[in-house]
Amino acid sequence: MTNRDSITRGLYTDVIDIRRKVFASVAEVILNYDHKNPYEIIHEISKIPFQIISRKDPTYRCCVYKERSIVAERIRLTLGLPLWEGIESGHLYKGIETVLKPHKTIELPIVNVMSEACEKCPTKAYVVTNNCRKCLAHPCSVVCPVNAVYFSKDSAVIDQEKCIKCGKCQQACPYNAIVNYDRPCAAACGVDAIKSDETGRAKIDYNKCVRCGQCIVACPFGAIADKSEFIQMLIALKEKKTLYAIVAPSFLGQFGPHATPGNIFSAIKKIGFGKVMEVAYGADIATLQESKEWYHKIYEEKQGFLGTSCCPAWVDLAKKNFPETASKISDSYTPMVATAKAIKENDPNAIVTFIGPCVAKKVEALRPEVSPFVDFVITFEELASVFVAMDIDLADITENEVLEDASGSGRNYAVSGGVVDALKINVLKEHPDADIRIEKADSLHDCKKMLLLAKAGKLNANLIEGMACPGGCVGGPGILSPIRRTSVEVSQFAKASSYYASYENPKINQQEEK
Amino acid sequence: MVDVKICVGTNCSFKGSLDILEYLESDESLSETIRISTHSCFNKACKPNNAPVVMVQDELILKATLDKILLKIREKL
Repeated sequence: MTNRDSITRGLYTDVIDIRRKVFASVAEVILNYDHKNPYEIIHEISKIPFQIISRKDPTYRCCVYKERSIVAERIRLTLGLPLWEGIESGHLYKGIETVLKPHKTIELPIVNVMSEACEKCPTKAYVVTNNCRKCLAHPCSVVCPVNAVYFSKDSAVIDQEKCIKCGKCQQACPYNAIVNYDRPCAAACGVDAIKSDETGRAKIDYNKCVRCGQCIVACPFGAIADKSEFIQMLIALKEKKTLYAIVAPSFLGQFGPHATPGNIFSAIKKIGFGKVMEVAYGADIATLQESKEWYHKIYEEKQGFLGTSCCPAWVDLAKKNFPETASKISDSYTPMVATAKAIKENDPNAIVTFIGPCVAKKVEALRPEVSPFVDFVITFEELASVFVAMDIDLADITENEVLEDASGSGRNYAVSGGVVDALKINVLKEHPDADIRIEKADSLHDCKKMLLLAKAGKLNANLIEGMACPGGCVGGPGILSPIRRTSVEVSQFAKASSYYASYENPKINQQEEK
Repeated sequence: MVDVKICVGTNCSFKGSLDILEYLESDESLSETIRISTHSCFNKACKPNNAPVVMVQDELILKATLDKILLKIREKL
């Protein structure tokens, strides 16, 4: 993780502020008004852009009307609606009656560029800034191998048509006058999926995009957003359905350093969930499956390596960009699916909500083989907005539930290296002499490098773990807590389990192992 | 030493107090000058619309932002 990443991620900016205000305001409307009456809901949500942008003069954009219009787009995505397609398609909240339902309604694409909000940042380029003194030596042009540097009246200029982006001029300039920059969304994208439309606005190439969501948190104009489904979840709660929440292992510390894991589970129940379970339980199931698969593939089928399966963005990266490695990625259930499946086998009427840091899981849950098990996927940030809308303060929660769904190693799935560590312990239990060579990568840029090495046969590893977000799931786009703090708390919580290895989990019956 | 007390209740966490906390804790240039503590609530001072709440020495700061807090810390030094 570069220094720049860690700084921009850890700050509460106006982009985050507006996003969270929209979440909480829409949740409040759904909770306080009759969701079966779309006109009443439209009447109320139409006020939100004016509540959030209440000033007479604009702060961020050319005018308050544009600012409000962008808030309205955010409201659509928060409701789970697609972006507004213009007046031909109908009024601003057209289609709202289709999403005011107690079941899954969202459709692809999940990650969307709100064109109105995109400020058309220039694409990757070396540019001369006004630090340039137009010096006599002008080493910038001396070192340029393609003659791309010329001089205007006041300064050096780089001809973008000629420039090959070698960076020599930047290194040579004695005044630090040449900068290399990229649009933040494209720089954050590890799969080169950010293109430009004909107006110069960012456009996502969905054939390449793996829905990691890092562009959403990288855009300083808040122009990229994902669709939510906590509104449908709230409606299911209002209609008194049997709701279960399954909580991803990165939940530690997300609601402040004083909220214990038990407090958090109790608070989730207070919203109206009948039962809450750790997804780390499903991680234990996944570990058992995958460690068997590893031994079988490596020792019996003589396959070169096995890639872990838990991060859907990583799996997508491998499948889309490295088709030859796709078969080497484990096909075991992800922890989310394994946990949800265990619940639905016991209670077929259960409605399961996955609560995590992840945008890619929203897409995973739309897959036909997953959708029967997982009804809703929401982020920690969306859950917090529900707490705020319902006026539930974790500081007031005295109940402290005991959590004992999972092993320490299952709980460590949230951090980079946690998955391969869990697998290693389980393989060695069955096969003490197994030769396990591990490689891991976090962030899509590094995952890609790892797969390139694997493709070239230069990777000395037979078990590889990929996670799309910096630091692992703890760095997902839907978090509230700073990455460093969550990582520390995840490892403390892992130690709090009375056993470390997945095979020691008494809750997993032998049936599921097969 | 300047005392900085940060509310990390749900409202304040949601509105950015966790990020203020993280910044102040990781900025080494501040480690000698401030004493940070986290609190569950300052008598619901965040209600109805004042989150996040931070106290610098004995001064309660409503709708706290990082820049406000940094400025206040310099002021109290």
